[in-house]
Amino acid sequence: MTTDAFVVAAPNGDEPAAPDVYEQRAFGFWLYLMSDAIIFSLLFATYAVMARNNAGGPTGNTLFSLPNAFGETLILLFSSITFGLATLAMKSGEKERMLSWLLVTFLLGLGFVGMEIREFHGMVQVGAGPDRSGFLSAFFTLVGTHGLHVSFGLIWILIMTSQVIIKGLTVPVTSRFLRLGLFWHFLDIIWIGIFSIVYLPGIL
Amino acid sequence: MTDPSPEGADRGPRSQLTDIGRSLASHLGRIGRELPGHLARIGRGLSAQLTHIGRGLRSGVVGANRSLRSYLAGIDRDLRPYLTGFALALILTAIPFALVAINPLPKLPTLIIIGVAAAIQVLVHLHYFLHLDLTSTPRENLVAIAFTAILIFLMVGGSFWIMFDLHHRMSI
Repeated sequence: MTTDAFVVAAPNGDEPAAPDVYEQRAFGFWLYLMSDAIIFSLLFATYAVMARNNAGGPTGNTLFSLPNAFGETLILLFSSITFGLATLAMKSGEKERMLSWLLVTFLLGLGFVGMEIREFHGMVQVGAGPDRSGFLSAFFTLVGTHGLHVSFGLIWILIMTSQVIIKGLTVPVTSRFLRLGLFWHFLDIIWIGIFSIVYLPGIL
Repeated sequence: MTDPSPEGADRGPRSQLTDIGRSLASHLGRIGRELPGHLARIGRGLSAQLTHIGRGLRSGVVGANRSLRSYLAGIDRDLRPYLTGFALALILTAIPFALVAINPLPKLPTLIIIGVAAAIQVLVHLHYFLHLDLTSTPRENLVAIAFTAILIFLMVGGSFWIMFDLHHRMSI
């Protein structure tokens, strides 16, 4: 119904209404991202307050690995650019190229989550789980929330891939894909905060 | 008729002189007439050579410039922001990681550089990857992000204020 109302309200006739709806959805998704940014910034604030409360347990200096953090950073940055390449391929209507870049993005994201799980597992193994200290609780909450977001992003990439294969590059599919792009690039921005506030000062 | 005979006798050399004089004059006149043309032609040729060289030089420079530009243009106008953003992000990532790895500076300056690099990189990502722009991005999106920034400033700043003040008072 609302769609029809927008069809009527569309100012120029050649592109009926649909763009308006997708613009609204893009704005709605933008608002979601802003709320997510607030969640993350408060998790960052919590971490900054808790960072020194290690309760006599291990500190970031012994737990964090600089090469590991650098590797994760590079993987996420590369996945951002490969997602951008997928977006460009989609805009020029090259479905195959878009799907292959999307696959590369998925594999990079999977690599990132894999590295993070391995890191978390290693920390829990040496008795530095989230229950060890306030510092580690805040660390696992912040970095884990980001990792969960990336994991959901991976699921979304899989869903988008199947939609592109099954439905093709229709207007709703490309609109969803652009929102996934916003989400994916947003997660890379959050990661900048994580390596700049958690890993680098922790190792320093 | 005596006059004509010496005149006639004189006419020979005189006429020769006049002939010489006339031919000299005509030569000089021709030279005088043709010299400007020659000079002009030489000048024209020289200037043509010079402009040719100049044009060649210029086209060489322009060509080099254009080839760089066409190379950049060849990789798709839409791709360029992604590549620019990627290069900037790599640099802004490498700087803080290198500082922590090599550790050439005291702690506080290092932390400040990490913070500044992170802030710039967030802007780079917003602009080149999320295509956020003060002109082309819809106004309500900009208002939303500005409002979010205010909320984050209030909540994070307020939390720090309270918690660090508390920490300070607890340790007195």
